[in-house]
Amino acid sequence: MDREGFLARVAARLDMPLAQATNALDGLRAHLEDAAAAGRERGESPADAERRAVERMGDPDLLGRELTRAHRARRPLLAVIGGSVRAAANETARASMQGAILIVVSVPLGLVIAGGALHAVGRDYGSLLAGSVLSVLLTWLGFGVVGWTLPGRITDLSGRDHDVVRRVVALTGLVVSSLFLWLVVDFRLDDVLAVGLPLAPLAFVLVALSVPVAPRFHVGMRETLGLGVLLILPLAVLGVLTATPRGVDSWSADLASFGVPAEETWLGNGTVRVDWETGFGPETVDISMPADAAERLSTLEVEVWPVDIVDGVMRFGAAPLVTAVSSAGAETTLRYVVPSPQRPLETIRILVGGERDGTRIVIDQDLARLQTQSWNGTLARWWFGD
Amino acid sequence: MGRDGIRSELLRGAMTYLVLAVLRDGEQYGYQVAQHIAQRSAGAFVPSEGSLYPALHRLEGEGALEAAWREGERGPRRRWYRITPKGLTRLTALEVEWHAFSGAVASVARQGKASGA
Repeated sequence: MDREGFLARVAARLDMPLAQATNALDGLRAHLEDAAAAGRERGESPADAERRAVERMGDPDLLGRELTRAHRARRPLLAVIGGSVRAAANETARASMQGAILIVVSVPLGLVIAGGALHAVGRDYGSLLAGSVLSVLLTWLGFGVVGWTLPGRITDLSGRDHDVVRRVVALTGLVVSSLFLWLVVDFRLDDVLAVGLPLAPLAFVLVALSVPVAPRFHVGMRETLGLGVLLILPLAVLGVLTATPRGVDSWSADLASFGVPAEETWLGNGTVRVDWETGFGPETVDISMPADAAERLSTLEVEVWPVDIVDGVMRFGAAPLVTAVSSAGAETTLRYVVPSPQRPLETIRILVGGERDGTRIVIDQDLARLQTQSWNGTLARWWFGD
Repeated sequence: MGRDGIRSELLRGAMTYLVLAVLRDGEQYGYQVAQHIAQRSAGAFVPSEGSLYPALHRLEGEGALEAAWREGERGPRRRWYRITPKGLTRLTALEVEWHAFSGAVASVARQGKASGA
């Protein structure tokens, strides 16, 4: 490394006003000139004298950092705290962006490879589990990256002892991020996420406590892209390992316990028009029927039942998840909300008409099996309830 | 950690003291300070010369040193450092601390040697 290369490396580590940085670099340049001149006077060749002068100066990265710390040694505590918060926000944003890049690079190809393998063996993606495992791994990685970069930034910023800084950063990060994860943010949670996410702050702590003041490994764009490529195959393997049996397309259900089929009553097929609207949030069913039919019915009722298919036969749970009742009319709309239990359930919806004598007529059923929405809320609510 | 590493760590801790002690004899520029530390210690203290500058900048920031650029008759423009009254007070305090510290270390070592004999 020549003199200007050395000074450029130092300059890259300086974080101070331009005038101070110029001052510091000019001082080092003068020292190097003096040292090289002394070497030439001792009989060294100009090239050797220059090289030895640079070598005797030591590590340029460390020197740049220490000069920065020297200039910040007397910085007020409030400025250090403000700068630390800003550094934490910047590092978190950077880690999030790197996580997004990682996903874009690795997930599509990983899914294609896994999809091909699953197609060959006749299984389906266990997308929920694979997605959750991936989310947990990326969260740990993100917390680890911030734990790796933040202590050094704050050590530079504050000019304080690195051991003290990294302990303070680890403890503060543990408390703040745990509070944030447990109490502030709503997640769509399942068992994997509920266990994995609370461990992420520990990844931060472990890394922050062990990172050196000037880590040799920097997590930049090149490393992110490299890791993305490396993750393609493990992700494909994860997709295969978490696959589920292919969904059952052919099954039968005995609805006798819900009432009499419409076609066996005066109501008949086609008398009633039913439109189911299902999906996120509140669901609705719109029912239209002739006025004389509406007069013969007293109520309309939607029941949402948990179901399971065993050996091609649909089995119903012990009780409906939701029952919504309305008086019957020519135009009736029923609104209802399907709860989101911690472990998702498959459900079907049945529309029952109640005659004035108590007879129940199964008017329609939405036999598309729908999984309940993922449980949504904070970690504290998941583990300790409301 | 090897012998050089231990020496380097000790030197980093003592750098403030060494810089102030050398500059008590008169103003000097950075290269001269490094040379005087090496010469006075008969080569025992050969720091990476770069490590001198953070100490100089820190002491200047604390008001223990004053510094000014001056054109040289030979060689480059140099930054000359001079100890201030505040720096002399600091040096006196460091001398007291250092003697107490080195005396305590020597005492521990002597007692250890005596009990081991």
